[in-house]
Amino acid sequence: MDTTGPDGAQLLAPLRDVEPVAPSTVDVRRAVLVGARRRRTRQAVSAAAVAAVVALVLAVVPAIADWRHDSAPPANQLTEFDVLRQRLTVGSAGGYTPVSIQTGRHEQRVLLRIAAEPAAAPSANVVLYAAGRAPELDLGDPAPDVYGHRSYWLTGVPDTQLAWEWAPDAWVVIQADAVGEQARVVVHRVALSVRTTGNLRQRLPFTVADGRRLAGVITPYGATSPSAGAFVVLDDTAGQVFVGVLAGPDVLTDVLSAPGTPNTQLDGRSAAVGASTVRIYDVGFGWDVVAEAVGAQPMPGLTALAQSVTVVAGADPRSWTADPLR
Amino acid sequence: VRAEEERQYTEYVSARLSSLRRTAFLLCGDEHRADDVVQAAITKLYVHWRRVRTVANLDAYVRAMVVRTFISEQRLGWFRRTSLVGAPEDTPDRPAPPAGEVETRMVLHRALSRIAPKARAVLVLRFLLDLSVADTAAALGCSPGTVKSQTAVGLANLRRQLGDQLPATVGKE
Repeated sequence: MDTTGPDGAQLLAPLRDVEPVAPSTVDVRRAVLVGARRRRTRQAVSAAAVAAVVALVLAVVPAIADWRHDSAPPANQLTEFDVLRQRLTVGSAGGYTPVSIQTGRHEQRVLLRIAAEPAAAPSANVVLYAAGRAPELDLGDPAPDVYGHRSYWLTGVPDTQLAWEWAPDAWVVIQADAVGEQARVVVHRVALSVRTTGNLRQRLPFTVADGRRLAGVITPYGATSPSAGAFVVLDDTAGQVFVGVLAGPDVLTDVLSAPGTPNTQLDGRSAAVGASTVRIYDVGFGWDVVAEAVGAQPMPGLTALAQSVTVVAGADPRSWTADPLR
Repeated sequence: VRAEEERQYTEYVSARLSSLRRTAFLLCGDEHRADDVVQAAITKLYVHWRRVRTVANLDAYVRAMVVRTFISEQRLGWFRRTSLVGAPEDTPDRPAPPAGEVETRMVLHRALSRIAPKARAVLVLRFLLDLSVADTAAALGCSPGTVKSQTAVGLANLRRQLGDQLPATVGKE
């Protein structure tokens, strides 16, 4: 039985008369123009699909070797990824270079920064979705193919988001803060550096004792990235928790909060304990332990979870462990 | 024919823009993101206008498009990057409510914006837009049971978010 009605209505009552204050930037005319363009694209794609089916029926198609740059296995094998294996790889291209890789069951995400600015925050990302796992994509103008895969610019802001279907019903999406006349060229260059056939075992410099399900890992990208930290992502009943180690500010994710100020001692070490974050300073090998709940704050047991982290290696990824859960 | 369709579309959307922006603003907690969501939703609406303009409850259909666009954008994880502009300097002032009310709304809206997107959408649709459980389920494309469970989860998280920040007046009317 749902007994939350009166409670919810009362709690949220102060927001009932909230209205946006800023003048509207919604442009109905632009919606018509972009929408009309999308309609034409859809019609053209539909016509092309019909023509392709007819051609296949009429022609005898010889079995040919898959000549594409990164041939993809059948989609039914790709509805979920192994969270401890990196399938998505991205090169340095278009002035961007990869910073970190986050794995997950349904998607893998590489964050990139401007190559010429080592201290810059990530300003682009590439997301590889497993088959059937991408959100609804507003396919707009056709874009140049990515190694033979059909490709589109997504409608919306910014208009430099590129998507291509790397396997049936499985998409890669790139978003970058690139601006100017060459922005789409830059994004397409990044796309050409993407491969979807990697199989790299993910390793971490710590282990953690926890009964929660492993939802993903976040590690620096490749052996040449500065090993500023690493995390595991764990499923919780009401959200997710990131737990791992950092050796300074967070440059690996765009999720975690800024480090807090020490306000207590845990296991004889300085620590900053907040409602949804815990940071234990200088736990060994130059690392701080960080745990942050996302989507459910505060999370019971967060401090204990942070305390359960055991660092096993320093900054050299070659000495990291492939089994982070104890 | 196309000109007539465009006229109908423009007339329809213009008349409901204020309501759509408010829905998006309640969901996003940020005016510029809200406008991005509405812009994306009405673009989709134009693409499908020929087919959907005759549906029985067009307002509910379009509201569902806004909500689903919001959830999709959250899943894409780009929301932090797409709000590129700040509030215009010449934003006209509105009559200021009493300071206590302003604080309460800000605290509550900030807390709401930290709830997971689907649970947040359930809370907004049910308690701020007064949709029934069934209508909320239809808007989100899920079962009524999911709406009820998301309501419970969302309210529990909202209370946790608020903690002792909850102004004394909230929920005491």
